[in-house]
Amino acid sequence: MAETIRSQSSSSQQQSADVQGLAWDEITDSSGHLRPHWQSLGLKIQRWNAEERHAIGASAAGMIADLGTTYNVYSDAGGAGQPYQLDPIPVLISPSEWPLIAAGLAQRMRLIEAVLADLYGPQTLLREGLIPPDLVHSSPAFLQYARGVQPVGGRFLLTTGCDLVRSASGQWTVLRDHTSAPGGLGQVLENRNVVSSLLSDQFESLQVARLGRFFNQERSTLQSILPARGDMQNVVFLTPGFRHPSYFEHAYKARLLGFPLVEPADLTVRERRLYLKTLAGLRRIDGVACRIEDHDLDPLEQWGSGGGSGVPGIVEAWRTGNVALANTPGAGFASSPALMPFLPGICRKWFGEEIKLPFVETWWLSQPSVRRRVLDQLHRYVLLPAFGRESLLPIRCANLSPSARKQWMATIEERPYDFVAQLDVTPSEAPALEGRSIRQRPIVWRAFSLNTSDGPVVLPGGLARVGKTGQAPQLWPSHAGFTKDVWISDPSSDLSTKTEVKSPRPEKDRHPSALEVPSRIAEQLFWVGRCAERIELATRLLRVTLRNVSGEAGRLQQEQLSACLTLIRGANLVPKETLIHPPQTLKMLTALIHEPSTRGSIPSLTRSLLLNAAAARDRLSDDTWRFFNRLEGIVHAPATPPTVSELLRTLDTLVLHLAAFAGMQAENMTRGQGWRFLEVGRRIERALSVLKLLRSAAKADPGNSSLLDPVLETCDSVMTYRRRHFSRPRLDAVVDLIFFDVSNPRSVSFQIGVIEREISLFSGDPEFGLMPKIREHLHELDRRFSERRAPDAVEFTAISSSLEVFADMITQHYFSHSVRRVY
Amino acid sequence: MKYRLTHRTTYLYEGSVTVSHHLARLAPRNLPSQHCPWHELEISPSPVSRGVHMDSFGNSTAYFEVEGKHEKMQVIARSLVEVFPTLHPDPLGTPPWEQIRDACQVEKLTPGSEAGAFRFGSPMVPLGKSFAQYAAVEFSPGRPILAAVLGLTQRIFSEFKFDPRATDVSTPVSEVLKKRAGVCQDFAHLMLACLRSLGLPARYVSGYLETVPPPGKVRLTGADASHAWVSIFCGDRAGWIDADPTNNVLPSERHITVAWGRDFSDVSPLRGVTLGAGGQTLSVAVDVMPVAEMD
Repeated sequence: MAETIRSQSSSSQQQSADVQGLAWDEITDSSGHLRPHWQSLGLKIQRWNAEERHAIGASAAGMIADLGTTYNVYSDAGGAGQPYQLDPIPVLISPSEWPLIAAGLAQRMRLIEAVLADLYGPQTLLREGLIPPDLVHSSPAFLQYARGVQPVGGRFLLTTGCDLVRSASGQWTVLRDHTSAPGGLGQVLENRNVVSSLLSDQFESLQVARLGRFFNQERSTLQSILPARGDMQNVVFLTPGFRHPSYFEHAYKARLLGFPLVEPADLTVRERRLYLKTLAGLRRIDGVACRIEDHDLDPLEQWGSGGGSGVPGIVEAWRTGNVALANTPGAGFASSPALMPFLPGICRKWFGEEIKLPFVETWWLSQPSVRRRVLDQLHRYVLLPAFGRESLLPIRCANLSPSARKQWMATIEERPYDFVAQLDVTPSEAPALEGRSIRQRPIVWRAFSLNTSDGPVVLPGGLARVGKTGQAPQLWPSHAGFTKDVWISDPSSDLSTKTEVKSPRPEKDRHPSALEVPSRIAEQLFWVGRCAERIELATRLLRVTLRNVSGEAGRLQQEQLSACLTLIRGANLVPKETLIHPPQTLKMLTALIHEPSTRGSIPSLTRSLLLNAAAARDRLSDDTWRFFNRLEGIVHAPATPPTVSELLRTLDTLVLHLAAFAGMQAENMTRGQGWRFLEVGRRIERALSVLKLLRSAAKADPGNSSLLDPVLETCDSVMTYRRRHFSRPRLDAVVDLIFFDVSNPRSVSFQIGVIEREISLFSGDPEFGLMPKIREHLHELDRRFSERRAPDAVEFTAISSSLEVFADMITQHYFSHSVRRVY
Repeated sequence: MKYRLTHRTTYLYEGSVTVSHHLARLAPRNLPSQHCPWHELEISPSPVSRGVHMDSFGNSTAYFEVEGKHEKMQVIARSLVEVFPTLHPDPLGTPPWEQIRDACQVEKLTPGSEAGAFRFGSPMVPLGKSFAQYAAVEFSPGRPILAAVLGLTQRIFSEFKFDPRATDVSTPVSEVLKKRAGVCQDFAHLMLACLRSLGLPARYVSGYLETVPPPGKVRLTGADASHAWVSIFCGDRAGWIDADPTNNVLPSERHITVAWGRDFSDVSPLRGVTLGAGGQTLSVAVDVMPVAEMD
């Protein structure tokens, strides 16, 4: 058993005594003076008065909120909750200690890369006894399907994260490695963007090391590991989707790297090659920056993985060398804290050097002698899952009741290989801004490394997480709380490289795949257009209806109201058979304006609009986004039941907002393929809206013209009609204006004209797949307008169905790729 | 014994499928006790791409994709296999089971301890006290491993009812233990859970079984199905020994081994992901024909 104790290295033992002592103070030394590297910033923040503190905190929050307005939508749409919060006071790392830490992080990356290459290959580590065989065999994180695969590009790791805490003696020590999809790298840049502008004078005078180079290298490294292929190569950034807590960070990072942000449904494997489904067909993908958990990557390889999500066949494409995945599947195995105690021994034996970064005392409990010693002093430790499958962990053993403690000890004895004990550490404390005051708070620094072809490169900065005093850092939630920027003064570095937060737009333009619209995005935009038009129809129709609701209705008004209600039914805003009794009318209208759970209501339509828009977030401008965010606020139900005039005010505001969006779409969006689908979606829906209204009008008694006023008003065509006819509306004249008239932007024929024009500009071979049928179908529709005879109700219905068929053909041809088009 | 194997899997889809991806583990392994000189996979519609690799357990794994609208897919695996009789050691001459358990707890991997990889929980075989308790009667202190394994095989055989309606592919093994009923896959998983909960290395084996026709009647073609049993590591000398709790036998010439792994999820004969279909109906027919009969 002496062997055992040696193999779980105890180089950390020396750390244990002082890590548990008093927290190290980042800013002041034991005699109460500011530490040298904090002199300038320390004085500055000490001079802030309460108002200044409040103001700078509020600015930071505002800037982060601006970057991440998305989050409100996500929480509403069942996505993640709050964004990270930013504490604008950075953590300063002394320039004298940084080179040692950087060398330690680089060595650690080299070491973990070597460990993974061996474990997924010859496994000599197990035969040499440097890693106990059970550590690999009992781990669900060790992917059987990755065994024996030579990763494309020759590397398992591209980027890694490493959580560091500073011990009471001032030594930075490793708390945890992140080797699968290290979160936080995008956020580092968001934070840097905000803090460097809020504290620009300090940022310049301290000569803070810039981060741009690291991100440029990340892009070029990813491109360097792609399988060799003649022409332009394509890389995508794969996110699980907008419900993931880090989605915004993924979108931000993808934009920064200039790689299209895609979800599993955007990708398909054909003939063991990976493709992106785009409007122009299937686009070959050579590399993937992967932010998906190993278990959700490929439903074909992983039993019971996420109900069919993932990309079937992607592992086979990787196994056969057709695509590079970074980090590779299975790399996450090295995130296990169980591996930590064995790393120093491997480093010594394989590299002939001592491990440079000490680590927080950590024990894998499978080995009996180790277990005995740890269980004797369990209160000193935090109990962690060895491989991340215990729902109750981590827990701080000092807080366990005697009975709970006994229970855990029994569980550990039963399957000791599932548990790791890590010392209950007290991290160092740094000044943190809390409202109007500054307090000392514990911090953990997440550093990042990149595995370039010339060896590891370390990010001169990182993300500091701020915790609660007295809470073990292993227990801090990973997706919540305050974070800080990390500054390292580096007078020697080249400060001219200001690539900082600038996304590589020029480069993006050179990147062909970035210009293409993935099919899913086009589909979402198509629906954004359709939803926006549905909301507009509902808004205008409800507005004209409400104008006829009031306390003392005259006969004429009664008639108008019932005409409007007929139109509301005809437009399917309420089920057709709904009987509307006068006393309930206002209640029903209010529900349609404010009640999200009412089918067809404006809030429920807004919800679908936002869901579709959220998924296409990286294709929409920030202004468009802000507009979408406000929509929800406008229709949010007031605390007390609104009056008619309040409801009308809400609808007026909404009409103006929808006009603003249409204007933005017309004036500010590039006429790319994405825009084209948004436009076509909008036009299809507008034509359908008008057809619904006309059908109701045509069905009514020919002598009853009361429907025609609200129809004209809903179609925003009252002024034109009056200018032309100076009379009470007649059906034939109304049909002429809103069905036939090609000059009226609200007419059906106008919509069809726009659709025909846009379709002819769609990318892809015009003779391929359904394209000829789609054109023929449209042409058929168009022919209806040359016949000057007004359609009857049945014909209006037939034209609607024909439009729906057209929408379905668009879906089949462009979105679902039921016919393969590879190029 | 020489056999001609045909394993026919037919999927009928409710809608039409446009693209599908599949992994098949249908090729019999080559082993000291088994020789497979010929194997072919016939797939219709014809796949656009296919390839074969060895998985980490040494099973031959075929990958293929089918593209274009289809409402039906059929995979027919045909093989010729020769199985040699297995000479089983005297159960009482095998080492005490605790010795096997302890020999797996090593700090260094040695050729003799590699079996240790198969003594942990896996996706379909969780470990737990209830399994260890169920097996404890047979695994009395010092009992030779093979004797205890035979005892456990016999117990599962006699205490559990073979009932295809009692369980499906997703029934957890703890449920099987409670219900005392299931099919061969359930019994294999249960036995694995028992053995591994005691710290013993055991793996899941998928394959076929030649069924004996009732006296006087012709063999029912297609009545057979794919089968599953377990294999237990019984020490360096005896090596891995198979046991079939569904039939209460130690497999020999009448069991044909296709693949092994930690549980069914590692070796499912055919797994696919389809795009575009609603529901699907699956039918499987297996023929295990002794070659002599065909001549």
